[in-house]
Amino acid sequence: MNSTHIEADEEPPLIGVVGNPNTGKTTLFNALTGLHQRVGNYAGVTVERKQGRLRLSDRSHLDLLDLPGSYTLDGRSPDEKVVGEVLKNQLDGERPLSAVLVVADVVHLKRNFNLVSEVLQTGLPCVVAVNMVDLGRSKGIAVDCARLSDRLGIDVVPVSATRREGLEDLIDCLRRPRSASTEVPVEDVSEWIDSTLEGAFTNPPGLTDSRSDRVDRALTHPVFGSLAFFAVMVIVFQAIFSWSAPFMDAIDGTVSLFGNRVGSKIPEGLFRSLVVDGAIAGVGSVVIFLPQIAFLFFAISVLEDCGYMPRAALMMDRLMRWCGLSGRSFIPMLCSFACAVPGIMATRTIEDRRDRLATILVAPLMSCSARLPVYTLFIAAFIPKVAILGWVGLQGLTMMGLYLLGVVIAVPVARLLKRTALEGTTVPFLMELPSYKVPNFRTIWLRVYHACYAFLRRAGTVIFVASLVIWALATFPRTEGADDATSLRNSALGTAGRLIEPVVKPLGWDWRLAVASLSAFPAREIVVASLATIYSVEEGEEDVESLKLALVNAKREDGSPAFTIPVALSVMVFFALCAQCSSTLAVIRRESGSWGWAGFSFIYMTGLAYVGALAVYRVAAGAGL
Amino acid sequence: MGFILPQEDEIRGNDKPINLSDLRVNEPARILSVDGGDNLNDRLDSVGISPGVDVRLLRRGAAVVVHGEGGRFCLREEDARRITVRPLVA
Repeated sequence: MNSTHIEADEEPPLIGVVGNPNTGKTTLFNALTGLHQRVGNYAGVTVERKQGRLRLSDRSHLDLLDLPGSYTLDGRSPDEKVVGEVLKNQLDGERPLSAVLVVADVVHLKRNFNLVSEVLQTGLPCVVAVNMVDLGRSKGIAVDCARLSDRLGIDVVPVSATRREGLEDLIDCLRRPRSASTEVPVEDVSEWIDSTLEGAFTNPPGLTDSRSDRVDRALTHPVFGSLAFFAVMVIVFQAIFSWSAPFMDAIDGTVSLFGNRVGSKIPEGLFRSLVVDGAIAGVGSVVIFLPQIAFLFFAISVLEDCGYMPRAALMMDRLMRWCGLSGRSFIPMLCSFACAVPGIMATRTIEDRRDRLATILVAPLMSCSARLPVYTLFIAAFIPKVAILGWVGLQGLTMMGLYLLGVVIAVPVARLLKRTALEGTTVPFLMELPSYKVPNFRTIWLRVYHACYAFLRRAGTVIFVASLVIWALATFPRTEGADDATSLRNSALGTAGRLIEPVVKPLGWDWRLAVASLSAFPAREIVVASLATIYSVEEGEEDVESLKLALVNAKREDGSPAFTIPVALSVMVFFALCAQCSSTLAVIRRESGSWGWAGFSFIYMTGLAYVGALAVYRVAAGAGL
Repeated sequence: MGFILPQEDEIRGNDKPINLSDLRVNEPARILSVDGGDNLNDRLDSVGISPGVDVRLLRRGAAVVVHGEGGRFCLREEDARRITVRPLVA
């Protein structure tokens, strides 16, 4: 078990990295492994599994497994359970660990030793990294790691992950980890901890981080804290929607240029249509969201790494509680404004299974970035550009209303779920508020990089296939010699659209809109490309401006305009509430462990979308808009 | 820190056990007991909030913030009410 030598050609030893939350474990993991990381899932459970490879000077390797942050090995959340199961080798499909690296932070060393004692009880060889020693020095905390090493019989190494101090020593110790020489008692652990730390660790009495406390007095203040929270949210959304716009325009331009170039090289016909309209337009309409994803993850990583996120969760606890949830559900909801997939994955930190499920089920109601192009298109085309109250425009208000709609609907849905299907006693809400710190650039960069990579991979697979399928359905069966509109009408997609036309008629839609929304069920962002195909925008001019004109001028078969303000509102409300995203449904199935909840999400959201669209259409039409 | 003196200017007796949620902001206190059932007790224990530990309350309200030797933690008032403390004179 105790690997003291490393052969280059066999699988390198696997070292589990454990630690309390907020000890800088991930920063240390990133410092040791850099970009040599593989992100996946543990078999059978939905916890993110991050493994990295550490290259040693003699060209051999060590594999490091970044286990979720936990205070104990007997935790209750899905994340925490994995830690205990991996260490006790109870998880199927996992290689047994050859050693454990415990990351402890020097300021709370005593609390961290609870976990150290539990790890030592497993009997695995172990190395303890005492992190943030630079911070400890400045606070006058004295820790004698050599003495702790002697007492425990394992290596205890002082490091600073952010300053990359002590990493060589740590790597050296990881090559030949030792098993503890002392027996850790099962009872009276706190006495054992006290006697172990006695004389080796001195924390100045009454040590507090008064600077963080002062900041907290403002940021968690009932009034100023709420204002600060509101300001932070405004900045985050500003970043996602405004600052990313130039980057999105650049991608849009590149994609249509690329489409034209490729299109001009292929002779006109079915194959060109497949490549340009199917593949390039389909994938391009999704890749365009990359800047928003990057900005959102940048903002979330900064807020998380500097320590603000738990304060935001604290401020939101009261509101979330009213929905039957806790402040912990806030971060997943915030993530869902970019994309419900990372949002749903972020629920893994919620211990209470019912809270977690309720959060998963309402997260897709938050308006994700894929809805934005739909809103942008219809608002620009149909909502008059008039100012209300001086500087607030009607267009901006409509946009805000659509974003609020999801939030406002999520409240009763969550409440109802928690009162019926997901009723039960709640797990106490206990959350650490770490000291504020300057965000670590490397941690943030890696997070943004991984998020963007995952997003592009999805665009290259799921969306690519969906785009081709939609293209095929809109193209076959072919009507020889007919114009585009007629061939679409007779295609499989057109036939389906006309079949469901009676269902969507009360919403003010014609069969072409039915086709467009039907095509958007795999991924709602596809609708823009579908509308362009359906309303026969000239080839090579698939930019938003010409599409807008085509929609404004579109006529029904009886010659009346296809779109009016009520129709546009009805479409937007439908897209705001509908579960048009196969990836979200797949991730709900994976995270909830059953297709049942995915099916439930699909049915309740689509039902809500229909009722909502119907209501807004009736009200708007009744008001004479 | 070790011994307790009564303070006259207070309505409540300074050596009387009170709920954590009734402490004043920044008032030091020692935890006497945690009576929250296994679930809450275990969770509090794992973060170093257990009998015998000295704490300070940093924020009052629906969500309280308590500072112990294990760091700064936020919990709900109704859970904080299950923690009995004895105020200490700083």
